[in-house]
Amino acid sequence: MNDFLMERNLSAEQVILSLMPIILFVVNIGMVAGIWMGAIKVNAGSLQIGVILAFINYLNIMMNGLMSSSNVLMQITRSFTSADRIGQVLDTNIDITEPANPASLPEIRGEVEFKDVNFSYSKNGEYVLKNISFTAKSGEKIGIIGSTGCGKSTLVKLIPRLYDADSGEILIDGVNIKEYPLENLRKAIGFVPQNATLFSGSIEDNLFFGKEQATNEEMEHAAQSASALEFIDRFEDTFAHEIKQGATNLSGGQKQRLSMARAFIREPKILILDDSTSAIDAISESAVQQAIKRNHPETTVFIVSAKISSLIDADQILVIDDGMVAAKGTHQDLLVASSIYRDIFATQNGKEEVSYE
Amino acid sequence: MSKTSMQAPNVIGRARGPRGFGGPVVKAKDKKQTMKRIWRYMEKQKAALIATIIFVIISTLLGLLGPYLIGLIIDQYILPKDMAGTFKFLIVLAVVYTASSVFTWLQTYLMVRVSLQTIRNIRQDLFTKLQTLSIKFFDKHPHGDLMSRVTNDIDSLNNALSQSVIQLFSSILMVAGVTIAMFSLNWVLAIVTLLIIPVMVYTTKQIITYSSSNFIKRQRDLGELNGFIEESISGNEVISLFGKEEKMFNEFSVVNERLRSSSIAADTVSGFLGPINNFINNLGLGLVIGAGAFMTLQGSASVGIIAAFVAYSRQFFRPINQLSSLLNMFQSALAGAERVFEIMDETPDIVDQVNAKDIDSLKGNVEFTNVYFGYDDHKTILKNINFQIRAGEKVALVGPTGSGKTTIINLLLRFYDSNSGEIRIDGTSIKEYKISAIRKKVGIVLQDTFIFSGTIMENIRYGRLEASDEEVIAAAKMASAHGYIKHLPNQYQTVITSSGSNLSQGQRQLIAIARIILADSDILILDEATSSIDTRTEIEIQKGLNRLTEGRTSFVIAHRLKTIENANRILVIDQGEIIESGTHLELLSKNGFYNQLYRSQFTLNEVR
Ligand SMILES: Nc1ncnc2c1ncn2[C@@H]1O[C@H](COP(=O)(O)OP(=O)(O)OP(=O)(O)O)[C@@H](O)[C@H]1O
Ligand SMILES: Nc1ncnc2c1ncn2[C@@H]1O[C@H](COP(=O)(O)OP(=O)(O)OP(=O)(O)O)[C@@H](O)[C@H]1O
Ligand SMILES: [Mg+2]
Ligand SMILES: [Mg+2]
Repeated sequence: MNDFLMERNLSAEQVILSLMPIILFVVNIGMVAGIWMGAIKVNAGSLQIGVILAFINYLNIMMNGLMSSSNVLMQITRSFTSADRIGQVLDTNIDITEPANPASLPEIRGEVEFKDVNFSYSKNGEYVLKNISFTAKSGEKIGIIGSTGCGKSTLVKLIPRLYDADSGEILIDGVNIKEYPLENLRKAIGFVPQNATLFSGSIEDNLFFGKEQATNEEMEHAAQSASALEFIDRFEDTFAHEIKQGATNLSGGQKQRLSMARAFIREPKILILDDSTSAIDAISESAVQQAIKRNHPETTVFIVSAKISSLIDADQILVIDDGMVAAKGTHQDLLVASSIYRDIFATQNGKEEVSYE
Repeated sequence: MSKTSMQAPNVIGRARGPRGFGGPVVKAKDKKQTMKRIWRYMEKQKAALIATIIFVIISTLLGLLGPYLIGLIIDQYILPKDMAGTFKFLIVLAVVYTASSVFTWLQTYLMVRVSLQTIRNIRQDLFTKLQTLSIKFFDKHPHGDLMSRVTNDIDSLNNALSQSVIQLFSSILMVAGVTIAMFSLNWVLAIVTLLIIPVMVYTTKQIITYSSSNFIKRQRDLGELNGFIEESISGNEVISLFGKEEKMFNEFSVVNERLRSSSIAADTVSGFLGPINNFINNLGLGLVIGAGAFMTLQGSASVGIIAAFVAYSRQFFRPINQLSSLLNMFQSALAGAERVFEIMDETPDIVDQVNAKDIDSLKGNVEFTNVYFGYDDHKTILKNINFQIRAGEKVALVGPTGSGKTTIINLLLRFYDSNSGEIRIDGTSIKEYKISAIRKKVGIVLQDTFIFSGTIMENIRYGRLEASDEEVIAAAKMASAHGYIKHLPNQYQTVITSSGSNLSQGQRQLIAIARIILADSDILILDEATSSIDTRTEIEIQKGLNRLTEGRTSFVIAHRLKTIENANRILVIDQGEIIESGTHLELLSKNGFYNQLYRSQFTLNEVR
């Protein structure tokens, strides 16, 4: 890579650097010719010697000018390619657009409906989501389960319009999400992405991401709900504790809990937890679940998880298989109706094992 | 590292740690030292460098010959109207000019090669160095700033090297030559021309001292800008989810504005140089013509001599002008070079001991005795860790988040060194092995899977570079990754974008697992390796992993306790201490922490 870069630099630089000697050559030859012509005229008496002096001087000035403009040329040539690359980014069409005339809508209550939604990441690619339809009533807890890569994350990413569906409709409170101003839509959603991205700065700054100017009580409350207060309190400087870039100075589970706290602090109408407890021990997870139930009774909650225990008391569980809703219903329904779900349940050996003692 | 934020009261100061190493004092630390080091790199291309200098000398001499010939032609041939002589000497003049152009081209060609090669070597060294530095170093330094050093700072050095060295030499030569030529033509006029020099030196010096600190500041601000960009690109999903585009925009504006103002400070000051010097030049030219005219009237000079002096004084001032702007460019390059060398001077805190042992294989006995460790001096994370593991055992580390499980692994792999206590593998302290040997023989799947941009094939092969395609595919099958890979548009040749953003989280983990299967290490570490993988797939992988871990020591960290039930030993860690250990059944019957943890998995909502 490094060698390649060097080669390419070399050839670009060489072309440009040849310019200088060429200019030098041309002007100097001009000088020789000028003196020769001058000499003839002086010889014929039609020219004063002073004119030759002036001529030489002018040529020198010209040469200086040319030299510096060749420098400029060099820089311009370089800048063209750069400008091109910058232009490419600037010219990229914004694919998620604001509605032209956003309806003035009442506050979002949190009912979410998918109607025959299809989605693919690339225009000609396979559909990642196929014919997804379901309704989540305001305040319901929706569980999403399915095998690795079946499209769970993709499904929930459509709700805050990180991507737009190719066909079909997603409605919130009966209104297509494309009609909401993006800001209002996303304000109503608390999203905990599958990998917990935090920013450098203090813990506080990261929580402010969820809600600007949150009060201390709000921060503590959110951290408590996410079961994060326990470790934050163990830092000497609590909420002022500095997080390094990439949050390298936190453990995997600590990152996830902060990421949850950041979503909780928004007091969202729709809460989306994408596998956000994968690196958290069962005791903390259970505390988080309790807190969600207690503190957000009216919030519509989507929980993506590989663990049935995280979804077991959901009002509705969507079993996703290869981008389609293979079955939906409560835990009990699915145990009866869905063989996939039963399979999954079997691998997590249900409650039988607990009766161990 | 947080000094700068205090002196710069702004939004960023609060929101994010400042970047860059220097404190508030921006000053070239030791220019001489820095220049010497650059020279040490250039030295390696002595031959090309010497050739360049010879070409510089030749072309400069030829350049000097030009005006001399012109003066000669006018005085000796044109004025006496000797056309044949004029013609003959004009041919000579043409030849001289042609040769001078050829050599000018040659010298730049060579020099560009030398400087790019030098830069390549510096960049290579810097990169190698970055690779030897410990994780601790990267914990401390924002990645964007480091990248800025590898790119921008090196670039500014490149600019200076490829252009200035040549100009430096030719300028000095030119000045010297012109001086000699002028003195030989007419010493009085020569002295008049030289009168201007002290003025120029003085102004240049003033300007440079002032601009050099600005250049350092500019490079630093550029590093900060890069750090910011890097972080906001990698966190872009969260930024849009939380509608923080405007906040980021505002913060960016602040950093951007800071860079603008430091660049302006650096560039305007140095921008004064040109006009000021030009003015001084013209002043000099006026002096020379005035004095020359006076002397010609007196008979002690001739028109030809004035002509030559006019040409000379241009040739004289041009290099001097160049020199002074060169020096300026050098300031900027030195500022960059300094930031580069700063990293090269980092002493890696974890290094091989002298005569560290290389090893072909490890049996896999691992022993921790009284190990204490803290990432910062004032906070101990691991307290008195003791355990002994026999070769071939499967060990599980469980415990609440943040209890120190990953930290134990970090110590075993020598990403960090323990504060006290001893860690032994096969009875020998790990400090006595070569670090590279340990890392080669211990395979690990990290909690945060790392995926390179490249094809799936390349990513899996990273586990063992010499593995054949068939072996890679076999490993992928064992890791249950084959299933989805064969559905990808280009299968194993599908290009994964940086950090694997076009794969699902679980798919990334499957690749990491395939990697470790391929690696065939003596000790295996799986840190939450299957946390995002559904349980059905996990069971399939488990079969493969069981075969893999047979007869090898393995460490497994998992919150889904199902994964580790069959471990030979489970170490329960809480707040940096081992509080329980034993097999699954032993621990369950103990009715302690593990039992509670285990039960809570199935009855999430009933605990508490
Ligand atoms: N690079 C670091 N610098 C400073 N502190 C750190 C660093 N890495 C981890 N810590 C701290 O050390 C403690 C133990 O972290 P560790 O990563 O070992 O936890 P863990 O047991 O692996 O947790 P998890 O299950 O969440 O991954 C945590 O309190 C964490 O904040
Ligand atoms: N940005 C992307 N570009 C292209 N393809 C993608 C992208 N993100 C995901 N995919 C593909 O879409 C499919 C569904 O991915 P998704 O992340 O939704 O899976 P998931 O169900 O969340 O899996 P996991 O349980 O592993 O998190 C996968 O096959 C994946 O390779
Ligand atoms: Mg996912
Ligand atoms: Mg960990």
